[in-house]
Amino acid sequence: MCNGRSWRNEMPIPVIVVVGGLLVSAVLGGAVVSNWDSIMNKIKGKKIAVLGARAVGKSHLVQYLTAGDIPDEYAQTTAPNKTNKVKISMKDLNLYIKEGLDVSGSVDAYPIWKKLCSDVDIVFYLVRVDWLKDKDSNGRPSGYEGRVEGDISHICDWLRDRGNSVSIYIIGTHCDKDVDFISVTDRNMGDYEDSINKMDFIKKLKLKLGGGSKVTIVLGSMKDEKGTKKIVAEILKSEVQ
Amino acid sequence: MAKDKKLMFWAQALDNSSLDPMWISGEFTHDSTQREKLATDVNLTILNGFEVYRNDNARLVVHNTKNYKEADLHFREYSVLLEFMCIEKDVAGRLGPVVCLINECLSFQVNEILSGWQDFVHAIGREVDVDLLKEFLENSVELFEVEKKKKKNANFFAIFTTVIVMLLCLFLLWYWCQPS
Repeated sequence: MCNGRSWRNEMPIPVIVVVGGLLVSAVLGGAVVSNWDSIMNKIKGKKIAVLGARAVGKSHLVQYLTAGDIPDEYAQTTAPNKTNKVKISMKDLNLYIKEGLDVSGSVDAYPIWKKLCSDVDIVFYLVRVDWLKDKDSNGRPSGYEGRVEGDISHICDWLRDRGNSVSIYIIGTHCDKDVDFISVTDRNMGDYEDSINKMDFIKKLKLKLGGGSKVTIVLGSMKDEKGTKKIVAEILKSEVQ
Repeated sequence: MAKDKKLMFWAQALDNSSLDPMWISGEFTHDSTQREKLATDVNLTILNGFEVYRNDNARLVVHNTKNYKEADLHFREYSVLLEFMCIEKDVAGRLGPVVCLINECLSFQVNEILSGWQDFVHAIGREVDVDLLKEFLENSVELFEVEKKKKKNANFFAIFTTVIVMLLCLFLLWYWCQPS
């Protein structure tokens, strides 16, 4: 599939994670293989920051992107977790992730977030859809919306000088805990996405970040590996488009 | 040897919305500058340091921050980061670690850290397995000393190699300059 190409080059990700071939292929299958060059050109050497409030799934996503699996047990991320060089292999394809850093979702970690934003190419901002839709949702921190708005305002400030060079993704997680998501299939996922996109709060976030053309919203559940793959696949599709 | 060493502790709030408890030299701090500095120092230690030990419940990271000389003695200062899980879980069912950072560290004593750790954990209403924590701290002291020796040996080897290479270069220069 990739013979003779420069796949041996490392993908330097000094700040946070990136995607491995294993994920891309496993998730998107044949449709993506033909688009492989485009995808790899888009993400090769890119630095990705995974940001979000506490308990939204940052560590889960970072582990999936850096190691190809999901955690067995979760712990709060207070001090950051650094992942060293990781090689993700698939058939004749080897991709190298130079370094990953999983950071805290505490507001005290804003200086670290700011530093990450200073040289990233892609920002993933994770929000809990269940907490946005249901204020009585289990474990929802008080003032969650305010926290998200505050995060987004800061991210906008930090990215202001970067112009259009940074892609921003709002990743809506924990959709499985939203009652409206239970009956959603691949066929009517579009309707569900529309309903989320029509939420005033989501509209406000998109507006803050510069409008729909600058922000991509990806929704899903990361309760298992399959759901996480699906989210990553959606992101990769968007990067190519 | 003993400088004014600060013991700093940081834990995440278990409700995931309150301010994280941060504790510097036996007192909670609400000062945003101090809090940001602690978070930044923790981050720098992780980024630039070496993870000496890690298991599911604990982690030791050591970062050589400064080398200096006083009188005829050479000192190396380190930032030492110790992380250990409390028994309680947060509202999302995740384990909650406590992080302890010691800046400008030349060495540390188990009893001093253990006592500071217990004070902090009690102050935030949590519990920790004291026996396991003590065992971790004892191992950490040993591993820290080993790490310091490794650093010292590495520096000695670097100096030794540099001297040999310089002598070799001088010899070659002298050899080539000889009339044939």
